[in-house]
Amino acid sequence: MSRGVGTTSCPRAASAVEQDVPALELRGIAFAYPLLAGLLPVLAGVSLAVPPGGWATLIGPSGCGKTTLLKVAAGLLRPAEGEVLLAGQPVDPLGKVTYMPQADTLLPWRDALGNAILAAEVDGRSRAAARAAARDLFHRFGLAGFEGAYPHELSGGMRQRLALIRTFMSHRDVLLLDEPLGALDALTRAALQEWLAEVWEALGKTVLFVTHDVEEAALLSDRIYVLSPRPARVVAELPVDLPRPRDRTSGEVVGLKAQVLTHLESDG
Amino acid sequence: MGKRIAELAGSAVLLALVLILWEVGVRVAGVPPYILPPPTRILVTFFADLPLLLSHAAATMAEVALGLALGVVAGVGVALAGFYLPPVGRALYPFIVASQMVPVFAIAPLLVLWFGYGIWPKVIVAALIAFFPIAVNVMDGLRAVGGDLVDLLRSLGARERQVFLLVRLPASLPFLLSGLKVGATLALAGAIIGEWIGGRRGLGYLMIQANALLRVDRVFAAILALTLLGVGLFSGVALAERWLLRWRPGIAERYTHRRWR
Ligand SMILES: Nc1ncnc2c1ncn2[C@@H]1O[C@H](COP(=O)(O)OP(=O)(O)OP(=O)(O)O)[C@@H](O)[C@H]1O
Ligand SMILES: [Mg+2]
Repeated sequence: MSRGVGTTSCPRAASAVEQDVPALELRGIAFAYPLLAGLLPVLAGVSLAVPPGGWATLIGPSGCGKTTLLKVAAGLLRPAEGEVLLAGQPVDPLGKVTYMPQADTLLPWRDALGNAILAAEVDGRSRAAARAAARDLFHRFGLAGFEGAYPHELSGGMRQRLALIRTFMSHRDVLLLDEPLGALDALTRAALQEWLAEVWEALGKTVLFVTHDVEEAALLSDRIYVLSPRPARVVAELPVDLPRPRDRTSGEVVGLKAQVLTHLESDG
Repeated sequence: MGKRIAELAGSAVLLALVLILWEVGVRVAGVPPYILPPPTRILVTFFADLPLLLSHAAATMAEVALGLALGVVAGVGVALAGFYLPPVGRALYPFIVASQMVPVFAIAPLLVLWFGYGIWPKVIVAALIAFFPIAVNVMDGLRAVGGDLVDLLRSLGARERQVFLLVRLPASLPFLLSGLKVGATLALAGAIIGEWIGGRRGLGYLMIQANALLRVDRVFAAILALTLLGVGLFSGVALAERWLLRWRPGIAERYTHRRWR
């Protein structure tokens, strides 16, 4: 509601009240990279919506444009067509959502705690308060005792958890996570999937998530968007109404995986 | 640890061997001390001349410190200008490289002509020499910051000033320090050349003067002082590096990694 009204009310406050308005919405996003020999079309009119506190997953073939779409949603790239809406308002999302890049972006010269409070520093919030909050999260998420460790002293799974804690510490409601569990071994990955699902439920953030892993999508999402090869379009939107926590061996999850795979292959 | 001691012991034995050969050779062959004094004589002169050496070393150090400070300011400044204003960087680059083709030592006499016999020609030679490794290293350091890291900060709404302070500056610090390690050693050599060409103070001046008086033992004592100064300077930067970059994986760790590759 009240989409046309030119209010500049805080989108976060609005999202808490208006449950029917998506926290994040992308409408008809088209994007092309300029290359020396012309344009490389990457996004061909992608639309999607994530309700407040919801979890939407993007899945699609490698190179189809998932990272590009997240960068548009983060405001790092300006779409040629379409718009990004936060809580129903068309906005420049730069600074209003949190983007977690696909690559490892921990600052090697900062200890774990220093990395966790990065967003607070950018925002000019109190560091002491951020540190206290981070300590709390470290404790809850099994990193207690490693506050003073430098990234190179942490295992791959711990680094990834730290990057996620940093993302969750950002005081923004919408999180854009680009394959946060991509570079991990199967065991660590399974553990972190469960961990991530718990954290997300506890913190009530809105998540747009990218993965290559069909099972991961089935385990974590409220809604799955299957994308076509580049230039990306949405080929299927699959709502997921399974109770949590989900069991990766349950019939529903296995069935959902098969469904996603069918859509992926139909266009591959 | 034991291995490191063994390595050091090897070097010490080698040094002792050379010194003994030198001592015995000079005495047996009867080389006059104004051509080549034996090491023991040099050592005696070194301690006898210590106050003199110290006062001249202080002058040299002042030149090097000022020169380095200037070189860092200019090097970092040019690197920043080149990074933030790419056309300026592209225009400057060939000149920065070409400036290295002109031996700074060759223009030292001109500097003396322009700036006189005081401290400034030496400071400028030291600064010119230190400038290049610092400018080039810092430029590389600023460019080495990954796009993802910058994206992360920008997505949080960070302005370039914050990106610089939070990421670019700490990321280019290792590059600045390795440039400084090279620059510091070169700056010392530059200051000495400046002192040779004209002046009243500094270890370089002392060497020229002692040489003219055939006080070769004092020349060697000055060389010894100079070496100690150089080692001290390098160790100082290396120590600062160890402390400032204490977040980096240990040297031992890097060593084993390299060996296993
Ligand atoms: N900065 C860029 N300039 C030009 N082309 C780019 C750029 N970044 C990505 N591309 C191209 O855009 C297409 C989509 O890239 P993108 O990174 O969005 O894919 P992706 O779906 O995230 O892939 P992956 O699953 O492998 O991470 C690719 O063909 C890629 O080569
Ligand atoms: Mg990607």
